[in-house]
Amino acid sequence: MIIFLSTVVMQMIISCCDCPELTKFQYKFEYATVFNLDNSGATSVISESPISKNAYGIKLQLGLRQLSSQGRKHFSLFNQAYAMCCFCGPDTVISLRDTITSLKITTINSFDNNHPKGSDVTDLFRVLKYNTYITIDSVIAQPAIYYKRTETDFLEMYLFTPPSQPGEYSFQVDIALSNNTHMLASTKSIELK
Amino acid sequence: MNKLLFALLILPAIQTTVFAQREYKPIRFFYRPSIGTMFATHSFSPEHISGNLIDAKLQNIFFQPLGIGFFFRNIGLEGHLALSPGQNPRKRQNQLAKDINLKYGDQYYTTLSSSITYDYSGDSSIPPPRGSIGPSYKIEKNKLVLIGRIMVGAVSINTNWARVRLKGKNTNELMSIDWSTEYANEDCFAVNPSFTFAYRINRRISFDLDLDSWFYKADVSYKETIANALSGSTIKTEYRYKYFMNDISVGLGIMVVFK
Repeated sequence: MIIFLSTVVMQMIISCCDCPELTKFQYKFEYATVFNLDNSGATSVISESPISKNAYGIKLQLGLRQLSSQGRKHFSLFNQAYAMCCFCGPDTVISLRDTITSLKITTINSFDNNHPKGSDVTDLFRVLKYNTYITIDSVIAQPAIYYKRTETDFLEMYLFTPPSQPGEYSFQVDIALSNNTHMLASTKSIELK
Repeated sequence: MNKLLFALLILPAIQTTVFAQREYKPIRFFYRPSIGTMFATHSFSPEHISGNLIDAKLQNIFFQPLGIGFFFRNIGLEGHLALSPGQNPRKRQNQLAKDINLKYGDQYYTTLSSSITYDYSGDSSIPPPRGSIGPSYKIEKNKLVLIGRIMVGAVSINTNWARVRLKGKNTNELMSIDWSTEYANEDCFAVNPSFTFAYRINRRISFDLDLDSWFYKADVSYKETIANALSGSTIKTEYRYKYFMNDISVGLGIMVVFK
């Protein structure tokens, strides 16, 4: 009897937790698409109609493609059901094969006197995160901020220095990756009024 | 004639037996719950948006689940605890939203969240308690009991936080405003004079009419923080509400005499 009880107690002490199996996913950036955003209302919407130049934004959609998934198998001599307490880590780990090294927005049309056609206007845009507008560079510096468990990701960038004149405008977004490739996407021409 | 004489002789005895005031032992220890109406003679009117977050308006009803007293001869010590529900949370939230829209609605879309109601499902808030303790004096005359007291205690006032997101109309401008106070409940020192008129129906039970008055001074500070999402700058302003209140209540109750 004593031997039996001792065995049960020993099992309870040293048994392993019944944690879910860890699955690792690896993704690569597949494509980038951009849309014109109308932020004149309570929330922003994708629009192809004329937009107020003070409420313009660009929505960047990043497409991801899964490269591999790897499940963790473990073997234990001790029954997991006897475990006394469990401290399980995350059951899914997502990693990107490449990282974004820079994100640049250039104006396809002449924007204002200081920004002729083809010039960099990245600094005129801000990204909204947690109710704060932050620079695009600071988003790139913290890549984890846009890694999610979805196969597409979005980044909304809002224009804070509008063009001096109303008119037709379009922008090109250039995303440089760590594997020395670029993803390019251009917005449709939009009237900023 | 003899019969008439006999009747006259026994009449005093009958009167004494039937109409005599029955003597009860003086009240020494009792429990007295009551319920009634309560109204404020000084109403609190918020001068700023944050004033809506102070639950100072009453629903004109109170419950006194606990009221106990002990007398040594005619002098005693009493204490009681009452609950008086505040204004309907949905109405308070609507009033807050209305005031915010009045001030910011022309330029901004407003999204309000507050601790008054998280999801509009609650129709009544937790009634803030009020309690007092102090000396009392009673006069007992046959079945009538008169008790007067001057007690001191505290009146609790619920306070809430709120946050509004202000999205500019036709612009990318975004701001947020937070209103917060240090304590979720503000306990205000109170003076509570009161009277009870009771009628004893038997040795143990009396019905009573209670008149209470609560004098207290509320002192609540709210911190307003306006944060600009673009510049990251914040502007902090403090609003202080110091107001004198007087609530009067009339209640009916039962006094259970234990000793």
